Amino acid sequence: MSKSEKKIVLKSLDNEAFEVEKAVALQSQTIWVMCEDKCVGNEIPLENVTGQILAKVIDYCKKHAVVDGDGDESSEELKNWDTEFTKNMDQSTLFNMILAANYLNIKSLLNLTCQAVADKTKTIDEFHTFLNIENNFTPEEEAQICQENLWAFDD
Amino acid sequence: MSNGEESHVMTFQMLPDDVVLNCLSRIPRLHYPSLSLVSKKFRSIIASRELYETRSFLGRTESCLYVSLRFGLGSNPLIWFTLCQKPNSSSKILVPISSPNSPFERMSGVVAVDSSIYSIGGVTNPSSRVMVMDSYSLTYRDDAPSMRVARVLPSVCVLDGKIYVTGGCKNADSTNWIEVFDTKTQSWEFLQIPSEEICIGSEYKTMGYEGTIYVGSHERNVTYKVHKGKWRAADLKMHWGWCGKPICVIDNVLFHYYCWMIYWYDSKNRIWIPLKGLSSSFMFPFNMESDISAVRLTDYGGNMSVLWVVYKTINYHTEKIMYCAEIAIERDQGGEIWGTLKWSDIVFETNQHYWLEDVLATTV
Repeated sequence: MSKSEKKIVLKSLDNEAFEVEKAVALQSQTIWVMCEDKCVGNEIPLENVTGQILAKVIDYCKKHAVVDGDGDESSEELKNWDTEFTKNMDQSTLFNMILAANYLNIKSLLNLTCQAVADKTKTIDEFHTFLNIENNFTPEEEAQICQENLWAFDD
Repeated sequence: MSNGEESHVMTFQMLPDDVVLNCLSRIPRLHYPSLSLVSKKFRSIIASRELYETRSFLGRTESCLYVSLRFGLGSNPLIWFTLCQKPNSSSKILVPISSPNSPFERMSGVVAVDSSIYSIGGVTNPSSRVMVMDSYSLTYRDDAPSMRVARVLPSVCVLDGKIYVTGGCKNADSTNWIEVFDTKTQSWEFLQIPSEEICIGSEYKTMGYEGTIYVGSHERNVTYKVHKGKWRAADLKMHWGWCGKPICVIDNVLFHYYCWMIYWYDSKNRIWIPLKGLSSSFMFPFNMESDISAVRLTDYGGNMSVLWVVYKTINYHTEKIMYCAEIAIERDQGGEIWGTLKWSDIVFETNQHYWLEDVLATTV
């Protein structure tokens, strides 16, 4: 790719195309490596990310990109934006965002979304409902766990 | 959120292991005992070394409070408890932890360095044994090198990541009275002390404070510190203030507890000053009539944890109620030290007889 090409097209799993500034897309280490390898043209297929999730990832990257000296957001404002960004995400979106951040290798987004999971889940019930985790103890095991951990269940 | 709303519902367990670790390492350690009740997988993750390595890597380490109790007779094994937050509530409670390979015989000096709890020396018989408990796996291991001499009831303290073990040995002289364990190199070395004048008697107390080792002798009623290769007697007020009282050192400030109050030692002016901003009533949430015993102060990650036991008699039965409070410590511009009560809770209640043995905080 020549340096004059400032835009790049990201194509989602469901064939949705997003044209973005290179500086925005290159926050993803995965995309950065793909560009470096020159094994792709101007269009990068992302086989693990749906258009709905990719749109959100791009929103995040746009906010965090420093484009042509335009990145003078105060860190406080950026922090508030991040909080708002994950605040109302349902669990499925949040997990898909985590998977996308992991696949695209965007560390700050991965940390932000993992922190959001940690903030939303601190109790056993929250784990069962929010994280959708099956309690896979057998009835005998569960009875024994309750007996050994009366402190947790006695009120 | 219902489980069956969509056939391709994404679940937490579908995330890669390193991402699961990333999420869990961001949850405060106080919640871990509850989380280990969620599922089998969680149970094994919460006890895994990888989780604590991730916490350390992400800079999410926290102080974690451990308390050991001995129920009934002195020969019963020690039981460790850790402070945890109750599920679905903000109240804190001590929960028992099973610590595999717990030493059969009683060990004596117990200290915490980083994430490890060290038990050193014997209680009734001289021993050079060192047992180490990782505070994440809660498993004892005995591969730590033994001391060079066997000791009974040595006094143990920590200074700059090194463990100083004092006294309790036969034929004590200035070359073997104190030995030092470097936790980084995992090696023991004797500390040559200036003279043997303090090595008489058997009751000592030691602490690491102001960059050196302080040794208090009950028999001689004096506190010495090692200063420029010599013993130097500490101020008498300082000696009386720390030797027989519950103490802790936080950010190089020495605190003690005396009569429902917490004081700090102003080493320039040689006086004990009550902690500002903290009313003594924090120790009596219900009434002032009860007996307080077994007060312990601990450096809890820069804050202070205060643990105390109150005896309450109801219908001829005596209940032992253990309280714990966390106090934030701050020094103002004028040099005064302030304490702010962050929380206080009943953390353990029983009518069984027990001894409160150790209270310490590890970093995990």
